[in-house]
Amino acid sequence: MSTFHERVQALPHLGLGVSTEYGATDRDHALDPVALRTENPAYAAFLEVGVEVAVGLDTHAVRWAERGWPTTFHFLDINLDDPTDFDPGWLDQVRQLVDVLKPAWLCGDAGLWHFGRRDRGHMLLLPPVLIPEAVAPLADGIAALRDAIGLEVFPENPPGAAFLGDMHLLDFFGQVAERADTGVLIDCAHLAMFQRARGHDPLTAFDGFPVDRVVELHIAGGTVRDHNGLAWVDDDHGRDVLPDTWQIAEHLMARAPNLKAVIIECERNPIDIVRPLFGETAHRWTGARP
Amino acid sequence: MTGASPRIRALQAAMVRLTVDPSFGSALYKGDPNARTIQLDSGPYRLTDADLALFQAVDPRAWTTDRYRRARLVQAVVQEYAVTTALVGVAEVDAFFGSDAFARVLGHRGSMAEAFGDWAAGRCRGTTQAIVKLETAICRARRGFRPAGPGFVTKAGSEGVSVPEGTLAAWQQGLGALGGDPVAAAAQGVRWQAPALGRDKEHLLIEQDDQGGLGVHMLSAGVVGLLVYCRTPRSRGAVSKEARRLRISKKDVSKVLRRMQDEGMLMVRPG
Repeated sequence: MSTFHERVQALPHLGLGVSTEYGATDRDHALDPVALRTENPAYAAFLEVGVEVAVGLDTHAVRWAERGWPTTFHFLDINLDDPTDFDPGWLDQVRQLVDVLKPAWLCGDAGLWHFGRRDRGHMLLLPPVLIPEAVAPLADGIAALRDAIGLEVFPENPPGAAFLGDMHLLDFFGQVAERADTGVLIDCAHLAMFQRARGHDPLTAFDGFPVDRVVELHIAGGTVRDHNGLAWVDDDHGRDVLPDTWQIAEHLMARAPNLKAVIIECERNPIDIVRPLFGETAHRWTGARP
Repeated sequence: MTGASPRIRALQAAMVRLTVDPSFGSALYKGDPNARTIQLDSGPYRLTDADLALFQAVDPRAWTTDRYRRARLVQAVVQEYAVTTALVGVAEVDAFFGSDAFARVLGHRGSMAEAFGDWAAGRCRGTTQAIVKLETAICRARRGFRPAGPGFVTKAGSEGVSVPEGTLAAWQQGLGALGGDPVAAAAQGVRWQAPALGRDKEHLLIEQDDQGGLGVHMLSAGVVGLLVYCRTPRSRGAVSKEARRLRISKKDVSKVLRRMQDEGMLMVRPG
């Protein structure tokens, strides 16, 4: 099998995109990806569709795909380190959804998407345990999913206020990517949350990180909140992007030679509110390209 | 693909529990021996001093920044146990999330809703217990989960339950008493007093229909008993023995099993 660095050359450059999940577009004041693309095709060059297999796709995602517009498939329901989650029924359903969306690749937070059995009411998202012992099972799961579906699978660093384990998140994901021989999706807002939670500067630990494996970035607004005196960042996908998030994004935009896609996560906001975010991101990406 | 080690599974289970159960969090951070033992399907895992140090390096407040997680879990249970909730109260549903039964769901790849039913049934008696058992069976029929393995196994989506006579009617009466939106009423704390039930038993088969709904049928005690027994795959010998215990005559066992297979209630998985 070819290496990631050979395979990545064949992947399309998707540009700027927006994310959605089942029913997101139908909520009050939500972003309409089609309207955004109609207004400015470069701001919604592709749609990242968040998919919980048991829920399926909404009509907006299906219609987007029927027009032949580019997509990526963001999974929302697999614990990659758990072989039991790779059951034939789930994999068959993923293949059927892939047939509809025809995504450029799969991606998704490499964390704990559910507790217990995959079941209604069990869904959540917690980061992986950041210890060396957790690297191999996660990486092996990524490779197994890639083999089963026949598309690249890019792990994303999950959000969190609490991160268990003594490894730095970038060291952990760097090792996961090397072992799985895959690319990665860096969520700049999630990484900013981690760096703050650990008391680090936004760019801590990038020195040993394989930036040539970064294929996709996520940028999203966040809000600093207080919980019993503890300051933490709520990943609320609002319009206000933290300076730490921009700093991380610009750092990677300037150094990641295989960066092919940037998602602005703002699905709960009307176009008028978030339009400037797209312009600013496009401007920063253009100015930073290596 | 070998999957995460018991240590990782245990750390993950403890992480989830920390986000839901503050009393567990207090005990764990103090190093309480009970809190350090995590029950997994592969056996108990005792968190080491190094594991404990990983937790203690995290500000305990950081686990509970999502203030509504436990409330959402309670809501998810109430949605499937509306009549039970009206009988036992929302506080009792909430108490489940501080129990060892909930902890076992985390470590055993279990089902929260099914485990709640089993836990709640063990904490009440009489009509309330019968209603809990009925709603638990409905819950199981909706999921259609069957463990892997060869042997006789009840069809996924078919659940047997034996309860005191009048339970089904009482449950329907309870739903009616809760009004047009029983789940909302139960979640808002509306209570209901169940009638007394008969001394005899009614033996019910609850099964998914083709439209995704549920149907209920009355069957014999023996057949329903076998449906319950074969929720987990069983050998032919074990099923025959259980049939005899259920007072199916020796000469009728094969006939009953064949009929259950012919009617699609019971499947035989090859070894």
